[in-house]
Amino acid sequence: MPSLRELWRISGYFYGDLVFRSIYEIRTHKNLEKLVRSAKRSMLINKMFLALMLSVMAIYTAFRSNVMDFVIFYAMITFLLAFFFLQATTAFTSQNFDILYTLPLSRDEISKIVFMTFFRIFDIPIIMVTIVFLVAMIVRSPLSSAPAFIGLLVSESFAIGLVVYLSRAFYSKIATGSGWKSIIRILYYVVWAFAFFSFYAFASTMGWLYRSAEAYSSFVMSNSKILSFLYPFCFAFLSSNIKTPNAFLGMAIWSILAYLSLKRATSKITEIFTKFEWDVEVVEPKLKISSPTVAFLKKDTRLISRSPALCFLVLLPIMEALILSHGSIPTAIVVISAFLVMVTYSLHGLEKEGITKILPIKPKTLITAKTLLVVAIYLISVGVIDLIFILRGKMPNFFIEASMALSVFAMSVIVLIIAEKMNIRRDLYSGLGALVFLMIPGFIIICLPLAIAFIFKILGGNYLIPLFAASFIEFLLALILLNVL
Amino acid sequence: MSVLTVENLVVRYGDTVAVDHISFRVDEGEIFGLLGPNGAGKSSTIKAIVGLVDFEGKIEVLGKPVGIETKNLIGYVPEEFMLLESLTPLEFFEFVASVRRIGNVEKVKTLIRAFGIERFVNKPIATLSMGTKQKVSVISALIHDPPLLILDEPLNGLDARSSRILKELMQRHVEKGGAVLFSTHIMEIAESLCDRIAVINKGRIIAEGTIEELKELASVEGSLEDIFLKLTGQYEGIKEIVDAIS
Ligand SMILES: Nc1ncnc2c1ncn2[C@@H]1O[C@H](COP(=O)(O)OP(=O)(O)OP(=O)(O)O)[C@@H](O)[C@H]1O
Ligand SMILES: [Mg+2]
Repeated sequence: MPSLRELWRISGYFYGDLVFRSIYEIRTHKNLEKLVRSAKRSMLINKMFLALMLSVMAIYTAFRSNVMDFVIFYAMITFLLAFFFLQATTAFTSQNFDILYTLPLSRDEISKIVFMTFFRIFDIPIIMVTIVFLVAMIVRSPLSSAPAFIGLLVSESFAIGLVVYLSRAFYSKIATGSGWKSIIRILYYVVWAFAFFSFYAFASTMGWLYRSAEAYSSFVMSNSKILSFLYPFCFAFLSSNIKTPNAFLGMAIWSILAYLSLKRATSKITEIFTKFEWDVEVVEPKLKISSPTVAFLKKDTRLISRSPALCFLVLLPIMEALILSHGSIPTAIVVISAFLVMVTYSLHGLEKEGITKILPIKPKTLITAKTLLVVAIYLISVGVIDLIFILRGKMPNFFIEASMALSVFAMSVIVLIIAEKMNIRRDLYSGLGALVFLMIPGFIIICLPLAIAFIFKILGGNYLIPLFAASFIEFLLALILLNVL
Repeated sequence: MSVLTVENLVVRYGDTVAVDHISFRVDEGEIFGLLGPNGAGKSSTIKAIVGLVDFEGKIEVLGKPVGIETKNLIGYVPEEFMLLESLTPLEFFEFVASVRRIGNVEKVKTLIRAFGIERFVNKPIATLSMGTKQKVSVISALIHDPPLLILDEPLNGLDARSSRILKELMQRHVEKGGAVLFSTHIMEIAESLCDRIAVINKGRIIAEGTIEELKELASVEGSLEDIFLKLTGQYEGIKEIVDAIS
């Protein structure tokens, strides 16, 4: 009969595999050992980062008395935990635990190991924030520490429930489908990316969040009767020492709900591994052959639309466009383009997988396909900015945007040529150094025409023509390089 | 005529020399087996031929050095799946066929039916069973009718019917003038399928020839398994180990 400690240790092996798979989908790299270690390291860094952030938030919140501070804290715990680990959790749903059935373990022990493996995704942040928050609350006000603590546990349970639900939904939604199904799939990703993005934006907008908390406070207080029933408000009221009967009732109800959702999540994640699907109807297979470039475009859009991590990355420049839409167009383009270098690099990283190495693919085909995608993402991003500009009654500068599309094309082609020539086929996780290295030429190509235009503007001349000329020369150069390749 | 020529092939992973100056050739109409214990260097040899790892030495397919031109001459079934897991088999075949510039999709449909995966072609590959994934892998290697088939432990995970189909396909393939290179641990398969066999151990070929030639070489009567164990120096001590265990 293995002890719990033993089971925990066993779950560690599966966790290692999980981390590896969530980061590297297919292993055809040269030195696997190094990659395994770096995968573990970057996951650990992610966790420590989140743990630290949540702990700082926990301490900050514990020493404030505003109801809204607690509301934000609980809501953030739920969302950040869920979305931060969505990728690992999605990988978890395809984890293989078959080997466990060959070991002398009972079903109960196996489900314990499965759950422990799952818990390991969150272990450090959850444990750390729980301890820090509890200690901080006891120091501040022992009386309200109990409901505050329960509030935190409830939030964590909801986070786990949410992440299990979402990753399950993703897993089944990646199945093909046309019409409505694909629209729903896209909606899923938009929701996912936005939520994930809120995490990214969160780090920089924390101050803003708390400031608006004060603005909402009066609204909350004047509607306290209804709100104090609701999660996370009931816990927030109790945590800041406003004890109303409604809040106590709310606490009881939401605690039960959290318990149920945690229980359901636990049984769902252990159940995944015993489910089979036989009821599939047979249809005449349909294939559509296209040119290699189009085939790549199709393949990449499919991969992107089915991987939350990739989808997020591609949406990043568009999100960035949303944020920057109040500023000037050139600044926005520079920032968007910086992200586009990252996107280019990651799209190329998709080919690290063996399959494209054994196919007769010319570098030109590969680079053209990826570049078309990058330019499309650029156009969508500036399109978003334009839309917001127009809605605000301002006229966007289509000329600058269009010339810069040529530079984006050149950037993508040249970055990809360098990557191909130097045999860098990596993703963001395994090749951060290489990315920084490629960022430099990519960024120069983007900034050069803008810098030239800026100089002309200062000198008081027409700056649009120099801008266009510079971009056009870059574009021609890229085309020539692409064709001599 | 030689379909595949390998001369002085060396494959390294850092300091490890996985393949150490291997030479062999596979001719038209021939099934050539690579046989060796775990870690012998079979997969590394194959990966060098298909372009997955860097190598030193010479590899030619139909007289052309391996590179982008030879990729359409080879159909490769890897030891570990190299599939795009979030695509469905159908989307995956579509991608491979498009990149290989295959005009006729009937072949793909025939293969799908032959291997009986019609029910799975619209499910994400990630959700398929191991054997079904292997079938997807085999089909994707066959769709462009390559003269050289390279199969790394191809029967792994296949059910009886499909491994029979694959074996027949291999034989049919060489009858039509193609060539097959495949690796296996399973002696019976090597014995029943291969025209010639190379026994690899620790990155070197220690014996090569037909089964009869190998028997003579090892001067043992008996199965290929006996020859194999004798040649790779694994014969001694088996009885002691079994005795010690039981
Ligand atoms: N990616 C890699 N990184 C480091 N070493 C490797 C890598 N791939 C293989 N090796 C080493 O190279 C040697 C040969 O491995 P290879 O996979 O070619 O053997 P094999 O004959 O195919 O074995 P098996 O029958 O187990 O498939 C082994 O010692 C193995 O550990
Ligand atoms: Mg092998």
